[in-house]
Amino acid sequence: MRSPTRRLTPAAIAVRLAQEFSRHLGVGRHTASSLVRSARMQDKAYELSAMLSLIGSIKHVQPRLVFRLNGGTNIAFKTGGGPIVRGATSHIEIFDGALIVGEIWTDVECLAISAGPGAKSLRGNLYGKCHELDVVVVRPGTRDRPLPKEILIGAEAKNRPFNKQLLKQLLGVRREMMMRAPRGTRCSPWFVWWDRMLPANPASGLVAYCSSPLIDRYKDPADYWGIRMEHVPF
Amino acid sequence: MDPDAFDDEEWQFLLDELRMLVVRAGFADWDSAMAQCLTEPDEETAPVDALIAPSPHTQLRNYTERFMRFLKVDSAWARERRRETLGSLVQTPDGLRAEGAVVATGGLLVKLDTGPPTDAMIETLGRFLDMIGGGPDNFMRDEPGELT
Repeated sequence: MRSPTRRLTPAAIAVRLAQEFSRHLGVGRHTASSLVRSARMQDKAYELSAMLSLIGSIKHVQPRLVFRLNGGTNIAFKTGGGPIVRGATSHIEIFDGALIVGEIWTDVECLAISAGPGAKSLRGNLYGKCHELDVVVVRPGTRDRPLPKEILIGAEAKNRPFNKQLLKQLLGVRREMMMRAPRGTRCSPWFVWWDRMLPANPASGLVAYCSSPLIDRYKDPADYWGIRMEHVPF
Repeated sequence: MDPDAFDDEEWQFLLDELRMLVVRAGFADWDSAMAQCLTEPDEETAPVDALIAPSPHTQLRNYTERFMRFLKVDSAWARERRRETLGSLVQTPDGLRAEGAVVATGGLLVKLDTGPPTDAMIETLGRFLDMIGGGPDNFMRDEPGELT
C-alpha cells in the first residue's frame, strides 16, 4: 500500500523558515538589541569592504602611495557619526614618500556647504549643518568636522538594493559637499581616479559603493553631480 | 515542489512571513530598500508597454535570492577576503599588517568579522529557493542529527 504523501502547506513552510531563522540568526532566541547590533555589524563589514575598494582604486592609480594605520592594528568604525578627534580613534595616513598627502577616517560628520564659516567651532548636535560620510579622505591635519574644502573624496557604502530613496540621500549629501561648477574643476588624479575634471567646487569626489547591480540604473543623475557609482558585489 | 501548488495569496503569505523574519533579525533597513524594488518590473526584460508588477511567487524568489546575496558580506569567504586585502594594503608604522576592524557600539568595542559566519543560513536559503523554484523539498527535511 502506498503511503499517503503529505502536501506541503504555506503554514508548514513558514514554521520551517522561522526555525531556520532562529537556528542560524538567533531570531526569537536573542534579545532585540543583540540582533540589531549583529545586523549593524553586517553594515560595517560592507563599509570595510567599500573602504578597501577605495584604497585599491587609489593604489592602482598611484602604486607608490603607502597606507599606514595610525593608532593600533584595527581600523575603528562607529555606529553613529562624529567629528574627527585625533588620538581617540585610529585612522589611515596616506604617504607619498615621507610626505602625508591624505588621511582616511570612518563615520565622520562633515560640515555642509550651507553651514557657514563659523560652523567649524560649533559643538553638539548641528541639526542639518553637517552630513555623515561612511569613509572620507581629508587633507592632512584636518580636525573636528571637515569643511567641504578639506575633503578630497568621500564614500558611501550600501549593502542593499539601490533605489530612488538612496539616490535622493546621495544627491543630498553631494549638494552639501560642493557647488555645481558646470565648466568643471581639476581634481586630484590620485583620489578622483575616474575623471580629471568634476563639476564640483570645491573639487572633491564622492563614490557610492553598492552590492546591488540596481545602482547602475542611476548613473546619469550621479554623473551630473560628479558622483561615481560602483557596483561591488559579493 | 510544484510552483503551481500554491496560489498568489499563499505565495504572498510566505513572502510576508519571510519579510517579517528578516525584519525581526534586525535587517529592517535592508527589507525597506528591498520592498521598494519588489514590485518593480525588470526593465531589461519587460517591454515598456507591459510593465506590470511581478507575481508574488516571483517576488518571493527575488527577495530570497537578494537576501542570500546580502548575507554573503558576512560569509567565511568574504571575511577571509577582507582580511587578506586589508593586510596587503594597510600596514602599521611598525610594518605589521593591519589585522581587522572594530566597531564602537553602545559603549562597547566589538571586533568585526567574529561570531558565526552566515554560510549556514545562505545554504539553507539556497535549499528554500530551490524548493520554491520547482526543485526537491530538501528544505523541509531535517538534517542528520538535528533536533526537532
